[in-house]
Amino acid sequence: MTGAPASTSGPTGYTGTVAHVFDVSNNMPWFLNPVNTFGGSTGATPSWVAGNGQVLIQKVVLAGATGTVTFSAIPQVFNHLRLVCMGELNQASADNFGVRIGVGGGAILTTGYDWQYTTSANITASGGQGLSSIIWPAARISGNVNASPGCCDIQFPCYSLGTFNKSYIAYGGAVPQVTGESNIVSGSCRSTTSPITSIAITSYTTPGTIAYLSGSAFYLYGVW
Amino acid sequence: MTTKNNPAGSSFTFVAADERGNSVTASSGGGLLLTGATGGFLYVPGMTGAPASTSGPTGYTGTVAHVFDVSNNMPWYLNPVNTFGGSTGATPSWVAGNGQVLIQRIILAGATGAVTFSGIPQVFNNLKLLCICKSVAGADFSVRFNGDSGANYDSQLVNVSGSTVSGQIVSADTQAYIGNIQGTSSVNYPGTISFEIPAYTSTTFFKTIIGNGGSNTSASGSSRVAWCTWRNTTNITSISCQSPTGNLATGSLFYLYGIW
Repeated sequence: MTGAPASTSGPTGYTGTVAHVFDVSNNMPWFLNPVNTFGGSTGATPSWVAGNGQVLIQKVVLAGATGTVTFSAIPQVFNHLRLVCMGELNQASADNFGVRIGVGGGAILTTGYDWQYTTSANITASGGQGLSSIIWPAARISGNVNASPGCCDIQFPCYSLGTFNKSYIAYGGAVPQVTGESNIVSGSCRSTTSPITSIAITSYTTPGTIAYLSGSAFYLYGVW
Repeated sequence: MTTKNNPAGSSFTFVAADERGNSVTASSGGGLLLTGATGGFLYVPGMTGAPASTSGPTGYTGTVAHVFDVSNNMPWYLNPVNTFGGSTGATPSWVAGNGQVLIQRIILAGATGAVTFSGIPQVFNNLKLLCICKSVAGADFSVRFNGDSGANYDSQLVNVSGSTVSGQIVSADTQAYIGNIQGTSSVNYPGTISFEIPAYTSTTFFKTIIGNGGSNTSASGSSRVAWCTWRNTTNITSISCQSPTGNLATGSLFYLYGIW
């Protein structure tokens, strides 16, 4: 089926069975539960329930140094997005994983990013913020020293709704042996309430100019 | 419609297809199967490992092949028109039917020095562990990989104790520190630890951990957010969880998940 099943009235006549179909547009198996007891909007009877709670939308493992990794044409069927990143930069000094979003199939936004973070650098903990910035920071990423990569986990809740400014939460860091830095950060983009259709991962300080090394890996998931 | 009664004489009916285009494998005619049922199930092909070829299942336009990987507890579907991008977007391509697979659950029947998950399947992209545990003494919660007890672990930590926040770095240690757990004297107050290991099968960089966790009693609490590195590029095949100052307590629970 091209898309999620919309009708629950069709598959009838076989008491005791559960209809099953695969949505080729969203890589999602669906099951029609005739006696769904879950509450709220997921609890209609009968109702089609997702057969997979977290679908891998795209995996990017860099075969060569790359300045920006972009996930585009993101499916709009999921409730949330989750992005797991691991890698190093091709410069000696550390930076942050930088995140930008695009909406409505348009260009990646470069303004309006607000964020608040807690960070620890070696033994010092502190906080900070950015207002109407050109990019979101996600977490510290190492330079190309000691083969010690940075990693982070970023979530974009309710990315396909159009109610509030788009938001994110992230945590991650890097520990290249004798020094380290880590971040817990959340924020929103005041530029848009539209559904997120693309995400770009780039370097934070000077976006697009510092490449991620070959072998860096990025996993985008749709969360049901 | 083709119908065949169960030879055993029960009420099950087996149907190949009906005039509405439904393919029905079993219908009890009287309601849902009971959880103790021993018959009436849908049988699909099993396979020892993930399907490797996309050239075999052809000839049925509009259908999606389905197989179950018995080695990795993973249902797979062959999407003939996969529109997802990058390495997941080949057409046709087998896509995972479960994004988070429980690899193993361990519940301690007795106090134990270390809990080890070994022989970890190498088919997933990332690993996740969720631990609800106590130690005999109460202290840090730490992990090691592949049995390595050498000074090869670095941890960058945000520690919160009560209302005090601090940073900490632990370099070249014999374990990676992720959270804090209570001792058995704090009855019914466990520590809760969650952490992920991205790209655990990759051999390009050192291995990393992102994790957090903590514990509290009725009077105090502490928590930790951790980023750790294991100075080794080897793929991870085993994970040991422990508390450096004492055994993990009876009843502690550990869940290892494979993330697709």
